[in-house]
Amino acid sequence: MSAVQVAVTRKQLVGTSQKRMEDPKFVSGSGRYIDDIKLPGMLYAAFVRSPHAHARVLKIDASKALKQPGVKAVLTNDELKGIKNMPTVEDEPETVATPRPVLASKEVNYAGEAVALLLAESKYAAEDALELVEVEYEPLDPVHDLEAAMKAESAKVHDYAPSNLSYHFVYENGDVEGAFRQADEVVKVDLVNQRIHPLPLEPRGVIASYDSGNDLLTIWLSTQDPHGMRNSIADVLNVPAAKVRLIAPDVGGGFGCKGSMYPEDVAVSYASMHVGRPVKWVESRRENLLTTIHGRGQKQHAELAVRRDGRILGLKIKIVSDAGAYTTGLNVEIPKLTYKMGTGVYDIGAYMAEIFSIFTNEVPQEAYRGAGRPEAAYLIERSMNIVARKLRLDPVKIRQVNFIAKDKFPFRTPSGYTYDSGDYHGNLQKALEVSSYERLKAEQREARELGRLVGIGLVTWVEVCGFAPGFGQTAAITVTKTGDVIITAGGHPHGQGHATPLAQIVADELGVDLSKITVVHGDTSMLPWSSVTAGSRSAPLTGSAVLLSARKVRDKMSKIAAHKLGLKDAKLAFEGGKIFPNGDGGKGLTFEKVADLAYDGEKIPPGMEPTLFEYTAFSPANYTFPFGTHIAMVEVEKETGVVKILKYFATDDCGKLINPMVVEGQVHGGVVQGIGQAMIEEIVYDDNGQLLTSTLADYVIPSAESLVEIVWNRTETPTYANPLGVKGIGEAGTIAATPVIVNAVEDALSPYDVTVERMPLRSDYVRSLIKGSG
Amino acid sequence: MMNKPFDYFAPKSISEAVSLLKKHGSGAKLIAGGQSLVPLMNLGLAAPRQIIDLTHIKKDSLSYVKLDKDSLMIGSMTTHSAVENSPQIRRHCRILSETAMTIADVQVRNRGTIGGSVCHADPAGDYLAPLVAVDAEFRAINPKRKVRTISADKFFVDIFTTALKRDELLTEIRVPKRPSTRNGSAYVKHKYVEGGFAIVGAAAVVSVNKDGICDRAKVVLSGVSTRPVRVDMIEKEFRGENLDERAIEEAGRIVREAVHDPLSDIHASADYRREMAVVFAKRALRLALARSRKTGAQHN
Repeated sequence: MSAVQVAVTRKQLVGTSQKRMEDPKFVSGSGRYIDDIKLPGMLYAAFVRSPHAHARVLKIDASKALKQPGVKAVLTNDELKGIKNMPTVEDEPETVATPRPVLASKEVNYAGEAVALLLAESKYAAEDALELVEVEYEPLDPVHDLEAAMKAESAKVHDYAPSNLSYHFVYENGDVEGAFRQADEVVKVDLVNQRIHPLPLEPRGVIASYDSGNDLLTIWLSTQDPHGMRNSIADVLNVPAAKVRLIAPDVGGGFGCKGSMYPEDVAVSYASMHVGRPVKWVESRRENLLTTIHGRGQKQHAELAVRRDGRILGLKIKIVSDAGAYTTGLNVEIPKLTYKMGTGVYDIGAYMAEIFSIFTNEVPQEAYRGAGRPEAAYLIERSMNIVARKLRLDPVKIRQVNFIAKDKFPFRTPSGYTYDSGDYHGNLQKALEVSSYERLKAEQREARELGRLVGIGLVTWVEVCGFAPGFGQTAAITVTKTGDVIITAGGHPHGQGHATPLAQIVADELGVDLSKITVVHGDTSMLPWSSVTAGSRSAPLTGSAVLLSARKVRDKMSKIAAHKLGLKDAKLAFEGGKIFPNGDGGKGLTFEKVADLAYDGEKIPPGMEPTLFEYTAFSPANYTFPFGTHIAMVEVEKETGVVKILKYFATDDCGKLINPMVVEGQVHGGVVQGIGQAMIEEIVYDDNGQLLTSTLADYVIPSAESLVEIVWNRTETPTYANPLGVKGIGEAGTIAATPVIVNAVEDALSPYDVTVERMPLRSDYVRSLIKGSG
Repeated sequence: MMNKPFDYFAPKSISEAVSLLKKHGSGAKLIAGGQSLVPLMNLGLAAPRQIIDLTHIKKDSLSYVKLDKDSLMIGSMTTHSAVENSPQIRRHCRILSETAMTIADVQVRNRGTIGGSVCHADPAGDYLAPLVAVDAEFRAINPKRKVRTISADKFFVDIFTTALKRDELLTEIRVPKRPSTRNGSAYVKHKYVEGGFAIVGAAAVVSVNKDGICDRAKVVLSGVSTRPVRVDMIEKEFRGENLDERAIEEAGRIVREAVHDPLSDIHASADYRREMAVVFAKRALRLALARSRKTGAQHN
């Protein structure tokens, strides 16, 4: 065997599919979630919640409840001494701040809002006593409909605000008026992106345990952001962050909704400090649907200045976003992300956007998987289809005419992002090949001749992720004296499968087997700081922090090994559990031996600190902009309006891949959620602000039975934004799937020349489109 | 929301169960598979003071499938899975197996019972339409051990309401046997999501003579109204007719007229339900008819 062959066969784990290390735990039911944790002396919390969408709170009388056996205390906001309000934005000309007490004390602004916390010896005792807490309300007019809420005569959610406008923003770049003057045609599009629920399998939950001796509050929270939540909860409680330790155990899904702090998190923490015993609260599914944040919820309007050949000269968009009851940093930021990604993969010179974010007496809207970018992709990708149909252009053609060309990257968009890298033509070409697009079209023609309503949808998506320059992520690596490797990861997983890809990176750098590596996370006492797992950040940011930490460890171990071997400036190889000079055929020292040496100050190079621990806070050079093409074929049953997905092809580009199987899994899950929004999911409130979809019988989500095989392929365009060249894939499927299904259904209905204006595509609605009464 | 506290009883016999029912009156609720009652309790929509659990009664006294000369007899505690898989039911009342197969998911079918489902009388419940279509009879027993037989037509009174008296326990559902040839039946269902309730469920039963002329044709719908909609006109109009495609279209028109004031919810509007009642009634009729014409095969 020649030396060259040896080099080629060196085992490289990054880029290969490896089974997820954590799966045996999860599939065997050995995960440990909030509700699995029981502490000695623990009390159980339950929340008295408003039955009204909008009302004044006149009186809260807990005397009857307090007489119930097992009931320890009832806390209203008046009893939460010395704490601050929930966070909101600064009051500025563009945004209205909404001071919000942790427990509603004067006014409730959505059905389900917590007005009191009840503590009891058991969960049953707590729940049973809830209805004995008597709350007197004076109902106020609820604000429900977005359009009506914007009118001057509408009832207001907040008396102190000038109107129901929570946030307003106007942006213009390029010669928009000129573009519209030059246009052969102006196409107007009106769409509804409905309110939906992130719906993690594990609802929210929190345990707080106060140790008065050490003045230390330990909080177990089902969260995506351990350090962020520690800081936020400490801030509202008015205690130093150093006196709070926050642990995120196994988290059964987040999808954005567990990136925020909720009133219950603060109230339960306060309660534990107040009574000096551990306190637990776990959300029921009804509470989850009623009080955990919702997402999407936008009315979207677009006007496109179009040349006859399909070239888009200018784009104007107007977004009316449903803020819900309060202004938060996120419900301002998310519609802004929609505007920032509004031009998608297209080179559109003139761009104008206006955002209205409107108060309603509903749960605040915040981040749901994709958070602003699915809404952007929906707006532009639906618009492109509608324009194509008007101009009688193939959806492929109109995209090719408008794509940002490969040689224009890094590409500065009108909204101010710099797209890192891209090859949209190449990716689309691959998608057309793997889906046999021409054959799909032939099949469609044949089906139509038989009277079948078969449609093809196509979407070319891009998103921004890897947030953000200046907003880093951390990781540390410890090599124990015995040579075991511990990765302490900043990004906390809630189902994504972080552990294996991170271990793959380290295994390659340090030349050790995956089985030598343990990945830990989710405890603020482990790292000085970490940031939220969201926005497809983990591969680009946590991955890079891990890689750079591993390189530091490798550097130090190289020096120790060289010192031991009496070599100077030798380039050492790390392979097969050994550390050796290149070309010595793998003799050298074992990894364990070098680890052992590192802990002995006598045996390391003079001046070097003993032990092996390296930490990195990685801040990327840029955001990343993954992209791709999804193609779906659907059939609509004319008689009933039932939509059936026949074929689904996803061809994504997330730069380099660490573990293709994990990437594909992320796409699958995302596509299913995206299909859910397109086909069946919807949060429905009645005119009184009562939630009609408060159970999983009414808020329906896709199941395996209604899905189709997702054929996944990829192209690889690396990014310069991080040393791994990876872009992130967590939200891609959700972003692409919703518009692709709707585009496909609209294509299936093309004999009727209708525009699909809203979702979900319930058979009732689709049938109404066919009948022309939609 | 959690269940309100309740007393729990696990009678070992039918007579013990009905005595408990009588003793505790209107606050007591029987529980069979628990697939309807427990969700309602968890949502706070039902709060019985006493729960009388029927699952401890000797298994074969309420869970069975038997045959005699005229009838198929199904114990009220027979699970949906057992209904789905029973060879006797498949042979003598295929529509019931076909119906059971469409209920929810495997987990629900393994626990839920036919008796529990019909006594719950959810308008979107799957068994309602087919049981009315096959002229089923419901046998109930009271604390005096008096047995009362109620026809399916009379059994389903209104939304979540049956003809059972407070102290009566449903013990058995009887279905008249039909000749195995020239009879066809079918249940087809339009649901808003896999495993979900029916927007419309349509049951059709058709008998033809040896010339293929209709002796009997019946359509019953669930999901569209507060109780099963039996489309009488179809039974009257089609006797002695050749059920061709024109007749089926006519049946659709009759169904449209028969559906008054359809239910409406977030999954389907009233207009859509009426329209789907027509579509699925015709589908059920066509399928039942095709099955009735397959001579020699066991397709009733």
